[in-house]
Order: sequence, then C-alpha cells, then structure tokens
Amino acid sequence: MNYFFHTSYKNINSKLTISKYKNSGERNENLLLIGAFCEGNAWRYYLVPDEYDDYYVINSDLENKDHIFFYLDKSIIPSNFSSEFLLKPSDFTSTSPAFRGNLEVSMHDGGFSSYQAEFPHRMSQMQGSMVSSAGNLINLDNATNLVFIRSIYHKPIKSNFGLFIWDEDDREPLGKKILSVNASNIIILDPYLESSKHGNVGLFADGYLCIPVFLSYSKDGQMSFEHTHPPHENLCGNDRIELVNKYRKETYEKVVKKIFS
Amino acid sequence: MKKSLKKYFLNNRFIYIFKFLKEIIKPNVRIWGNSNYNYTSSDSFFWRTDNGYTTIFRYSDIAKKYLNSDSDILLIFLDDNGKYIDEKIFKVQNSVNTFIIDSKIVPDNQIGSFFAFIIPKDLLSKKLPKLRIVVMLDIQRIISFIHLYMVMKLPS
Repeated sequence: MNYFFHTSYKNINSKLTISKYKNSGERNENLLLIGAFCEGNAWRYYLVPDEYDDYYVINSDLENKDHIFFYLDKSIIPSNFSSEFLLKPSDFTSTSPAFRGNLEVSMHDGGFSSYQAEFPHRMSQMQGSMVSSAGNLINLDNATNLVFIRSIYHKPIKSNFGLFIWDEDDREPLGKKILSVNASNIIILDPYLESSKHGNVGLFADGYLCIPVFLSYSKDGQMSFEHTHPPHENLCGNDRIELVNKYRKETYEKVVKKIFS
Repeated sequence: MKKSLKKYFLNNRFIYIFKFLKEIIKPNVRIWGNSNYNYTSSDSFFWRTDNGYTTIFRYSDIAKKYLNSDSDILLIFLDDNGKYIDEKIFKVQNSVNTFIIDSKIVPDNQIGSFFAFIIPKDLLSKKLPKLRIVVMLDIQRIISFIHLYMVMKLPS
C-alpha cells in the first residue's frame, strides 16, 4: 500500500504517472486516485482528474508540490473530503513485483530523468530517523546537486525536524538544515560537497521517516534523478539490522551530538 | 480438444502456479536471510558501449562502512544474451569509487549487464567458488534485469 509524491523547484517540474492496472493487468474500477494535503488540523482530499484510459497524470507546480496521491475505494471517500488522520490507501498497490509509479523530473529546455516515487503506508504510521549517503549519486563535474527529501506522517501536521550533514570519510559534521514533515523538502548539497574531502556526504534526518531522492543537473541540461537503498538493504545476513543500528548510533553520537554541543 | 488444452495451460492462473512451484523446487532468487554461509550479493546493472557511449560505475565501500573491513570488488561482465565475457577483481580504494566501462573492458558498440560483488578482506585469500557459473546460467532465464539480486556463496 503506497502513497505517491512529486515535487517542484525553481525551473524543475515533475510529472507523476500512475497506472490503473497492476503488472498482472488486473484493474479495479471501484478505485479513484485521490490527492491529499494538510490544511489546518486536517487532511483535505480531492479527486485527481481522470483524463486517460490506462493511467493518471499529475503535473507539479509550486502550489501542489507537497500534495500526495493514492488509490481509494469510491465507497470510503469521506463526504466532506476531509479527515483527522491520513486515510489508508487501497491494497491495490500491494503487489509482487512491486507496483511502481513514475516520477519524471524535467528542466525547461533541458533533459529529464525518472524515479519510482512511492512512499509505503507503514512508514507514514511511525516516527524515526533516516540515514543515507549521497556519494554514489553526486555529479562533481560542474553540476548542481540537490536532494529532495519527502516525509509523510499520518497526522495532519507541518512540524520541523533536523537534517544533519557530515563528511562520510571522517564523520566530521558539515551542517544542519531544517525539514518539514508532510512536505517535499529541497536541500542544495553543493556547499557541503565543497567542504567535504572527497565529495561524499552523509545525511541523518532525526524525527520522521523520509525518503531522499538525489538530483544532479549540469548547465547543458543533463540530469540524474535517483534514490539510494535504505542502509539495511546494503547488507544481508542475520546481523544486518544490528550492524546498521550500530552505524546509525555511532553517527548520532559523532555527528548529531557534536553539532548540538 | 487440443486447442482448449493449450488455452488452459497458457492461461495466467496456470502460469502463476507453475512459476510458484518452480520457485519452490529451483528458485531463481535464493533466500539468504537465515543462511549460516558467508555470502555476498549484487544487484544487476547495465553497461553500454554502443554509439560512442561509455558507462561510469560508481560504488561505495560498504564493507569498510559497516564491517570496518578492507575489501576487493569482483565485477562480472555479461553480453546482451547473458553470456560470460570477462571479470575483473581489484581492491576497493576509497569510500566512493569510479570504474569506467569502455571498449577496453567489454566489446565495442554493444550493450550488456554486469554484477558487482564486494568481498571482505578475511575471505580474499580463499579460493572463490564455482558457484559463479551457476549464477550465470540462472541469469539466462530471467527476462527483466532491473532489481535482480544475485547471491554468491563464499568459503566459510
């Protein structure tokens, strides 16, 4: 069960495409694609215009960049299009192989690149932290590098939480930024890359679960848009969670506490 | 009769059951979560040298990061039919590394796939297993390479 998200930033816009069928070809005519956003102390919903036979398309702009989208059965859409907690998506998107959306980001007069853009429902039900490395996805060849960080939490809040950035080579802190929950956050990485030894920076978000997606683009319009795997997927074996937790704890001790002290 | 039998055996439900049973008897994806063996796994990746392209492969030193261990990386290159071309093994030098795949490594003007296995230092002195060959035979039966994980069992 997934939510889908998109984003928008200056001259970069995105197009989110969500198919109406599973990999197996199965459809469910009782489902509608719902858009959702936080307003006041509630989640507000609206129906996404249904313009194509096989898929929905949502174009982003600076107004709707924080909205999320998901399939919902017609019969359980609230009559006032509002709820206190975020509604659970239909299990239509619980498939194997995984049901994917397609988030295409593009620059005006430039290239485009795509990413799958789903956010698991279970991650919206809990708080926690996120650790990620930018090193593999950075373009140091005269390009702009940034990271979109998407969080979705079931309560209709827009609290702030911290993103800590460090040099992966020596674990020296490089800085702190503020993120908002239930928003598509954008962080420019270039100042931190310049401060790091080999252009390899780590990210630690403390407070809410979130998904980082890295974007680089060069002056001639070449783009790359890609996520990293969660750290526990870097390893296999019985002790992989233990190893990742150890790394996470060490990072917290060496980076977050140092920034606060 | 022949036509209706053919229709029955080719319908989605039968194919699903057949694939399910095949996965139990001889799985393409091996379950490694509870294994007591030493093993390393790789996603699959594409390379291309067609139309003047080269492929830039960047990888992290995850053995150093999580195990505080030096390591080698083993790259296995296949052509577009999943046939073995060559392999390279060398020491992982930095936290992030770059490897250029061009016509010096793989045939010119073609596309293919490759795997990248990180092998921690304490296993480097031991002979790598023949399982690699089995891995490659398996690949030929897989249609989509995207997000395919391949596991290599190492000496205990």
